[in-house]
Amino acid sequence: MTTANAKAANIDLNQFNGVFFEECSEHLEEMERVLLSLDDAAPDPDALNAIFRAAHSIKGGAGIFGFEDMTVVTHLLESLLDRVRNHQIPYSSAMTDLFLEAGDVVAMQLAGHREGKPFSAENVEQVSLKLQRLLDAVGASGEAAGSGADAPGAMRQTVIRRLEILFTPDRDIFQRGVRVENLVEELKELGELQTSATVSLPEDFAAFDPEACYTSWCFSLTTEASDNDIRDIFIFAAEEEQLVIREVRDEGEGELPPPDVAGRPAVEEESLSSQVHGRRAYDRDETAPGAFGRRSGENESSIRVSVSKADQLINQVGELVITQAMLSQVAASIDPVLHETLHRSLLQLERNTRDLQRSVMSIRLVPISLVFNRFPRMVRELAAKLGKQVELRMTGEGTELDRGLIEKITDPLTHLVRNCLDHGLESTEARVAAAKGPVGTITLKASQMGGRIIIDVIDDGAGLNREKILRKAVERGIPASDAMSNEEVWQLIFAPGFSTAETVTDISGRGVGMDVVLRNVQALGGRIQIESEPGAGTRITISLPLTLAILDGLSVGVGDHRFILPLNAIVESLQPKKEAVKTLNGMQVVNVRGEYIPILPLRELFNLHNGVTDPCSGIFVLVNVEGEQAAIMVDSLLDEHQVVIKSLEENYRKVPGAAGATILGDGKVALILDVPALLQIWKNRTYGRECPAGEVTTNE
Amino acid sequence: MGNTNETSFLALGGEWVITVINQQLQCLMGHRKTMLSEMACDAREGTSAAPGGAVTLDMSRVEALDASGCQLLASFVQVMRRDGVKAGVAEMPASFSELFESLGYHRVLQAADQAYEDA
Amino acid sequence: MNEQETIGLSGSGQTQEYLTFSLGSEEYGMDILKVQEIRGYDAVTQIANTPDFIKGVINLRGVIVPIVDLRMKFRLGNADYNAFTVVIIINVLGKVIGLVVDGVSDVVALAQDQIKQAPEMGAAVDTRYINGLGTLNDQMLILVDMEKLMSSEDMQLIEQTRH
Repeated sequence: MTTANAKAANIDLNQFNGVFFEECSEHLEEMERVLLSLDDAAPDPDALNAIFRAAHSIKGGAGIFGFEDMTVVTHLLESLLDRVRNHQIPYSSAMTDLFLEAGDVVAMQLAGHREGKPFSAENVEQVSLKLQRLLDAVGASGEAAGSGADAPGAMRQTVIRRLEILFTPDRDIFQRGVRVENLVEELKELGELQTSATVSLPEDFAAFDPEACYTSWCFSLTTEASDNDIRDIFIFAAEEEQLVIREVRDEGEGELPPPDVAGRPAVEEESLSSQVHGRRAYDRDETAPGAFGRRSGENESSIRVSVSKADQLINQVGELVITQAMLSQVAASIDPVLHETLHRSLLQLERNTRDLQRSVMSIRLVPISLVFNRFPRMVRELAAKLGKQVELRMTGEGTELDRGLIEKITDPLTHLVRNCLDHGLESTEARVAAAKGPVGTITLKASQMGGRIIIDVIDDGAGLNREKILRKAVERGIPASDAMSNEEVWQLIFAPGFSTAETVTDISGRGVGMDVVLRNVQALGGRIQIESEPGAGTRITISLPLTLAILDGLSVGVGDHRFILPLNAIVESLQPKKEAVKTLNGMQVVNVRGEYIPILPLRELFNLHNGVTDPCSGIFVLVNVEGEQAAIMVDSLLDEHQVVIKSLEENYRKVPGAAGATILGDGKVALILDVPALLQIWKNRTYGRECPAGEVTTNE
Repeated sequence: MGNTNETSFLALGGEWVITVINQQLQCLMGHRKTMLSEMACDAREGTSAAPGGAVTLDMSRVEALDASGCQLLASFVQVMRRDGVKAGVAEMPASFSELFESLGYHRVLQAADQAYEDA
Repeated sequence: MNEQETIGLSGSGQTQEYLTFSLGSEEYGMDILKVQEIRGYDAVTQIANTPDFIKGVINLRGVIVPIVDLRMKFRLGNADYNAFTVVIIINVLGKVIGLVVDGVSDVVALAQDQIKQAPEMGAAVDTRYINGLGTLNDQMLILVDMEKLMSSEDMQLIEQTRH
C-alpha cells in the first residue's frame, strides 16, 4: 500500500480520529485492569478473552485509521494472546509484565498521534522483539502440553481448509473509511489467498458514484484459521450477513458465484467469541455469556459530553446563582405586601435555582476509582523494585467527588502511597523478624462523612519514629520540642525543609516533600491528619470538601467588611449576656449551657479597623469543627445564601483563614472563611506559638 | 482521433484515491463522451470497418491508487467494453498492479475481456 | 503627553511596543503584550493582613483579581483615588493582576537602539526590575520588567516557595 493511500485515509478520517483515540484509551485501560486482576497461576478464560478482544479492537481501529505503527505491537500481542486463550501456550506472570509493557508502548504511540508527543521508536522495537521472541519460542503450530484437558469447543482447529469467503459490503464502505486493502492483507496473513472482485454497475453509467462501492469480493483462502478468525478481520467492515464463509471440498471451484448470493450466516464452530452484531467493535454486543469487562459506560444509557461543555454549564449555572441572589437582594427592599406575587415568584426562583445547581453539580461528580485505579500497577511495580512484598487493598472506590478534585488529589495521594511503600513498609526480612506476616498491606479507603470526603492511606508498617523526626526537625531548624504531643510531632514531617536529599529517594520523589503534599491538599480546602503506632503502622487521613464550587453560607458583617461562614460548620448564633463572657487563661470565653467556648473576634483575626469590640454588642456564631468549638464574634448577621466559590489563588495567593472568595449580589467580593484554619490561627496567636509557614492544622 | 480503429491512449495521472476520485471520474467521463460521439460519427459515416475502437489507459503517471481507484478503473473498462470499445490498462507501476490484483480487480478486466470476445 | 511616533527603523533590530504610564513625576513603560485591559478604580475589597500597597481584590467579570497600588509600593506621588485613577490589568506568569497608576498615556514603539541600560542610581524602582531606559522625544521612559517585578518577594503576590 502506498503512503498516498495512508494519507488519503487520514484526510478522510481525521474527524473520526477523536473517537478512535477515546476508544483506544478505554481498551488500553481495560487491558491493564484485567491484566492486573489476573491470577497468573490460573488465568480466567474470560479475562484472557477480554484482553485479546481489547488488543484486537485496537489493532483493527489503528489499521482503519491509518496508524500503521500501532498495528505492529498490537498484532504481536494479539497473536500471543490468541495462543494463550486457546491453551496453546501456558500463561506465566512474566507474560503479565510483558503485556503491561506492550500496553504502555501502545499508549505511548497513541499519545504520540493524539497529542503530538514524541515517542521512542526504540521502546517499540524492544517490546516488539520480546513479543516476537516469545511467539517464536512457542512455534507456529502446536498444542502445549497439558492442553488435552480442554473442552473440545476450546480447541483451535489446526486443520487446513480451503475456504471461499464472499464479501458483499455496503455501498458506503469506502466513505466510511474501511480499507479493503487492509482486509486483504490480513487475510493474506492467514494463508494463501486469491481474490476476485466483481463490479456490478448501474445500467446508466451516468449514475455511477465513484465514492460508492459497487464491488463484491470472493476470496479463496487456504488456511488453518477458524471462521471466527476470519470474521474478526471483518469486524469493522461487514455485517454478519455480508460475510459468507464456506468450505470448498472439491478441487477446482469452477465458476465464481454471482455477487448477490443470499448470505447464510456461517455456522459458528467455536464457542469462544460472541456474535458480531454491529459493524464496529464498539457496537458489538458483549452481553453474550463469557463477555468480560464490558465497558459499562455503553450499557447504561449515558451520553458522552466533553469536559469543557460540562464546565461551561456549571459556570453558567454559577452565574445564574449570582444573578438570582442579586434579584433577591433587590427584592428585599420592595414592599412584600404590595408585591406579593413578585416575592412568591422570587422564592420559587430561588428554589428552582438551588435545584438546578444541585443537579448540575452532580454532573461533575465522578467516582474516586478514577484515581485509585492507577495504584495497583504502581504498587506492583514499586514493590518489585524495592524487593518488598506488598498487598494493596482498596475500599470505597465508588465514593464520588468533584471532578476538579480528582485531578488535584492524584499527585498528593500518589506521593503518600509511594512514601508508604518506600519508608512505611519494612522489608520482608524485617517484617518476619518482627513476627509480622511477610506481606505488607497498604489500604486505600474513601468515604463521605459530614459533607466531606475522607481518604485514608493506611499501612501496617513500622510506624513513624518520634525520636528520629524530632531530631531531624531540630537539625533543620524547625521549631520542635520534646513537650510536643505525638500528633504534633507527626505533623512536623509537613514542615517545609523537612524532607531532604537523603530521605527523598528516587522513588518517593525528586525533591518533592511532604510540605508540598500538605499545601496541595490545603489548596483544595482539605486537611491532613496522621496517626501512627510504632511497629504497627501509620494512618494518614485526608479530608476534603465535597465540592469545589458551591457552598451554603451565612453572610456576616464586621465593620464594612463582609465574610461568608460555611453553614455546615455553624451550630447556632447568639447574643451573649455580659455575665456569660469570662476570661480564662488570658483568653476570652463565653459560657454556653455550662461549657466555656473560646471567643474568636473576626475583627482581630483580620486586623480590621472598624467593627465592634465589646463582645456584648456583637453576635457570636458558634461553630463546631470535628469536635472543636469556638464562638466567632461578628458585628451582624446578614443573610444565608448559596455562594459560588471563586479561587483566590488563581491570581493572588492563599489568604490565611480564607477558603476562597465569592462575589456577592452587589458585585463586591467577600472572603469565605476557613473555620478550622481560623481556629488554628487563633490558637497560635493566643498561645504565642509561631505559626509554621505551612499552616499546619492539627486535631487535638 | 478520426479513425476509431486506432488505439487511443489516455494518459492518467494524479491520485486515484477516495478523496479525489470524483475528479478522476469527471476526467474519464469527458473522454468517454468524446469517444462515444466520435464512434457515433464514424458509424454514421461508415468510416470504420468494424464497430468500436480501442482505448488504452496509460497509468505510468498515476501517483496514488486505492480500492476506490481500482474500482473506478475496472468499472470504466467494463463500461467501455459494454459500449463496444476495447479498453485496457497499461504501464501500471508494479506496486499498483500488485494492489489491483490483490483486490481482485484484475478479474473484472478478464471478465470484461471475455464478455467482449463473446459478444 | 507623549505623541505616538513610529521611529524609523535604522536597521538596528525589531521594535517592541510599550504602554506608557505615569507614577508620580516619572514616566514608565511596560510590554504592551502583557496588558489585558485598562479600567477605572472601584469596588476593591480589602483583604486582611496584607501590606498597604496591596489594596485588596476586585471582581473582574467573575474572576478574583488582586489590586496593587504601584504608587504606594514605590512611594511615588500621592495615592489618590478619584475619577481619573487608572488600573492597568496585566497578565503575567499566568496571573491576572491590577496595577493602580496615576495615568496611562500612549502605546509607543521603541527600537533596540533607543533603549539604554539603566544606571545603578537610586531609582524608585529597583534596577533589578528595569529593562532599560527608553528615549522618545527627549522624554525618558523607565521600562519595567513586569514579570520580574510581580514575582519578586517584596510584592508578596506569589508564594515564594513555589518555583
